[in-house]
Amino acid sequence: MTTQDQGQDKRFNTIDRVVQLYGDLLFDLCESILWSSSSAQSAFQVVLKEIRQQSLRQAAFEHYERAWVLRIACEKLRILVQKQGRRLSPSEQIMLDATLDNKTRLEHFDSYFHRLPTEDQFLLLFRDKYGLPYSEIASAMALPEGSLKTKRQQAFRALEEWLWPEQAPEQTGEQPTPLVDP
Amino acid sequence: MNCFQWQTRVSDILDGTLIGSQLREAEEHLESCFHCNQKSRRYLQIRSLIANQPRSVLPIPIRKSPLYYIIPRIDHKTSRARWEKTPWYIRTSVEGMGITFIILFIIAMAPRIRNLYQKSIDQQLDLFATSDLRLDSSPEQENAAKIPLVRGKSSPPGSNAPENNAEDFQSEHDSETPEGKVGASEIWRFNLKTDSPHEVRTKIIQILTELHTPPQTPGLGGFEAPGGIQFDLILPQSSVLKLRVDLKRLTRPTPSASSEEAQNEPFTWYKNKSKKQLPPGKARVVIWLSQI
Repeated sequence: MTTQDQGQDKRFNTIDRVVQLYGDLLFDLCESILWSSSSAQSAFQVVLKEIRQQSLRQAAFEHYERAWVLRIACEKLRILVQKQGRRLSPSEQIMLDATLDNKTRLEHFDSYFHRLPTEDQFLLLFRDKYGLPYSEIASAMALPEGSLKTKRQQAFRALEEWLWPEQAPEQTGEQPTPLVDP
Repeated sequence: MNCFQWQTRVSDILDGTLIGSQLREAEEHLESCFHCNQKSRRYLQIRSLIANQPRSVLPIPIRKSPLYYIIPRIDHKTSRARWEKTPWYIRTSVEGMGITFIILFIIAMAPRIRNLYQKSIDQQLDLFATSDLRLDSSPEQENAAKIPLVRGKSSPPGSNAPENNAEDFQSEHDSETPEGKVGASEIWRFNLKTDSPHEVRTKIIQILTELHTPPQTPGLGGFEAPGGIQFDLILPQSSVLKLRVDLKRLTRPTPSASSEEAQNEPFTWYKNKSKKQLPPGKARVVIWLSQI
């Protein structure tokens, strides 16, 4: 068996293993980020092709394989979101900002979630949907863990402000809170 | 722990990684601060919403051949491709017959469409004439409305046309308008082509003065426009006939004029119905002096 044949075998083994172990995770990530099933299928193939390309170049993934796969997926999805990610139309944006009641807002949680920056969406999905440890997320997103925690806190705050918008004091009948305690 | 400290540890609190005294302080703060307590409940709700999002499973066809699975697309070209597969002799004969049929159809339909168009224009003109008749209620005006539209030209130079005078005009006019009257709400247009519009302008002003046109009549002096001089005035109908004769005299061709110049018709006139209501016995006169 030649060196080239060995390389081809390794590439195909890697692809098979990635599909078997992380296929569902990758596909769900693609669909969650791109917000479209048909786009997710093509994005999944794009990610796999990139994994196949990089499988021979890098051997370090064997210790942190999932982080390596997710990092490639993040890189590719960032580009694909710009090209073919579903975006909210102006009328949808207006509808989301309109005076909806809290229950309706929670029903449209997906729309509010996709208003977040792509990086924040990655972070919330990795941490709160897939339950990945911060160390892996930091490796996949190429960010320090402290920054991830801050970003997560900011993303939660943004979602909270969208889902439960503060009513003006004159509407609620409450007195505005003083900045300094008397 | 104050609100700011609690906010900075939100991520750890949500993950449940806060331990010991810090956890106790955070819990105490939540008990004392309604605002942070509310936020904490909302954050937990958001986290559960994210965690409970439905998870997609990789479709089996993609799982079987992840790299080479062809994603089905809507094919818009199926019908066209089927047509292209038919033998060339059938395709060319059908297409040729189709093109011939379209050309013959256009040739057959063009005159009919033209006739329809002309009919529609005639109908519009009839409507216009009837509406004009309704406006003119008096018998005299009705008679005047029945007068057909008149168009005249100066006789070509070199021909043995008689000298233009009032009698000639009267006879010509009688032949065109049997009633011999000029209708109300009329507009007369005289087009004169001349080498020197400014000279002719003074002559026209002189003619108008001789016709006892009041000097304060608006538009008596004419105004310069691109390409010539225009007079636009309202005159008594009785003076229009005289004016026409005088204008015709003005543009009488010189004996030295060549045959080409003679064909340019230096004097033409038109009479039309005017949409504007004019005072009774008055007519609008537009004289256009164009530079040759």
